[in-house]
Amino acid sequence: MELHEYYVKEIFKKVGLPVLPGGVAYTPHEACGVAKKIGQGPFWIKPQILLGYSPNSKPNALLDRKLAESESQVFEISDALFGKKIKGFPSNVPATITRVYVEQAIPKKSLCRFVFRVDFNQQTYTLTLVSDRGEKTYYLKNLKLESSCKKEILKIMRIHDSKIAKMLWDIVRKAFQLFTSYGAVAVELNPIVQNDKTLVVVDGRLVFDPDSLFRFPEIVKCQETKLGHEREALAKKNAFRYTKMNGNIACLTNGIGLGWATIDMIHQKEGQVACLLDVGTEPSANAITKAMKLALAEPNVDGILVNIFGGLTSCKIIAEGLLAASPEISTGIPVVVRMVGLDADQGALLLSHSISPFLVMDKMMDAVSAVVKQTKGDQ
Amino acid sequence: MFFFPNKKTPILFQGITSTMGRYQTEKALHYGTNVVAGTGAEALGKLNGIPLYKTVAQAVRAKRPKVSVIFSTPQKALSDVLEAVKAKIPLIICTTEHVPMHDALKMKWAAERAKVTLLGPSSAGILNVNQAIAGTMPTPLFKAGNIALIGRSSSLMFEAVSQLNSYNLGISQCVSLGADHLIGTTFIPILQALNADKSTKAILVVGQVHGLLEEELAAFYAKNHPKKLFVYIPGRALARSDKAPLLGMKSVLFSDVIENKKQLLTRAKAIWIDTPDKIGKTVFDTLKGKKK
Repeated sequence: MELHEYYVKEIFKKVGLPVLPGGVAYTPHEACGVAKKIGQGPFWIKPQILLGYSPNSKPNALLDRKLAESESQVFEISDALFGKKIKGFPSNVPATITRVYVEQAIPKKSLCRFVFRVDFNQQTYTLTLVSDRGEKTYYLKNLKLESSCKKEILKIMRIHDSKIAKMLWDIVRKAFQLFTSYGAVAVELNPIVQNDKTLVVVDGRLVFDPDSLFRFPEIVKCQETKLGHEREALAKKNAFRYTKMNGNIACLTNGIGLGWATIDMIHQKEGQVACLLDVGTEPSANAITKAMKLALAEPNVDGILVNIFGGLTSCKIIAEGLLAASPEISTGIPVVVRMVGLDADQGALLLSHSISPFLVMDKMMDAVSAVVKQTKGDQ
Repeated sequence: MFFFPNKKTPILFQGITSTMGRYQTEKALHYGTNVVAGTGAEALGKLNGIPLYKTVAQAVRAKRPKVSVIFSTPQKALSDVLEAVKAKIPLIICTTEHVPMHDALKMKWAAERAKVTLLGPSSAGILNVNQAIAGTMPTPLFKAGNIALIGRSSSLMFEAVSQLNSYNLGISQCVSLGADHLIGTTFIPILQALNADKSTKAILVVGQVHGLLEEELAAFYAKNHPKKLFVYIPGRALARSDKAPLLGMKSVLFSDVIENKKQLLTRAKAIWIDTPDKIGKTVFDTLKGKKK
């Protein structure tokens, strides 16, 4: 789940970060209205679509900002944008542009870029500053932004103008405030541009921690599903995790470690995983049913492997969850179930009485070999 | 300092009146654990014979617990941990999952400053087999033996235990660090305690691709290796994170990260386990003195 740029800019404005004047528009007329409010051109027109990230794909040319010199050009360009379809990633589900963000355009001569983030390796907050003078990372010990940091930043950037220095430090401080008050994973200001005698934050990213969102219902309301991430969103709603991969075996496990170990083994047997559904260490029957249905609805799935270790949850409950999804198992899709731990015998017994073809096994390697063999036979 | 709670160690349960708290209390008492006090919402009187207190400070004054196990919601986890830190309880175990990252960092730094040990968040706790359970592990699975287990992801740890069971190998101590990115205690204090633990002959570590904990472990083990160390880390077959990398960060392949951890650990003379189904067999064969 993510926020559209116009929401992020709204939040930036609220904490006092200097952003360019702009607004969201749902029609070409509205776009013109926003441009009129801004006053003088030129303007940027940015389609508002949340795209998934692909390490290999080139940035979608369609999503680049368009430059309009005048109000009439704003109308023309936005009119052409509305209704255009864009392919999502990782799934290729297309989405239509329904909103654009119109913003005052300025020459993009970057002064610097920086990011506050939670560093998992050093287990603290960090500030990374990037400018044409190089890159520098500070670890914020004691989880505080010390004023000693200010001197170093100014020294590296070689800023001598005291007004600009003050403005830059003000932006850094406010971004840090934003970062801590929202419990964010990262706040990225990229780039900060010097426009005449002031500094402006032209673009930025706000990465929220999904686990801290219970404190910010107003953010949850604004969040929308990223294009191509509909299944992840559905999984999250039902308290499990979905990870898309590229093969043909869907994997349902409890606990991320066990999930990854299962994927390792499928690869070792030269199988390919379509997706991983992690129902957590303590799944309910309902979560199992929902995850199983999602696995069955996944395109390109030739087989399903369920690998559950009943530590806190009884395997009987897990079997009940699987049985509830069984009407949707179409013929020809093998479902291999490996359950061990609490009440494993009772769970296996329940599944063996079902008319649906659950293949129950005790050993992890046997289950993996079985599902790989059956899915390879299908091709 | 880290230590293993035994039959006599007085233990406090925070959040004892929650569903999880009640369930774990019954389990712990049945196992013979010395639960001396509890705190929680509307905690008055007694629960299963355990006196309940309003605050951790009151419980500490009355019963002097050496360990606190926290069963609370993500909303309350930070304040509960800070309360235990303030009362200077030497070993604090936070079992709560889905704790906000900034909260986890605050817990970690507060515990470090107060020089107390924090295990977790998202830890399944410590099981000193046939002595005491301070956590959420399924006790019937564990048979007494001389292999210690330290891990991140709990279901994978239980998988390892059941494989060891099938080779008739039992467990001495089982410690869960928690599977979250940000956690209190790392492998090293536990390894130090295990080196001194007479009931432990060999150590099995189930690691994680994220973070530098295994790299630290390798550096420590290279200098201190009185006991055999086995390591398995899942995730080799996964590609890379599908999130856009932030400024100044590189997107790395998980298989490269794990390969690096493997190199460091094998150079430090730890025994590397390549696949999860071989955990039990590798430990068994090595301890029997057979070649792999």
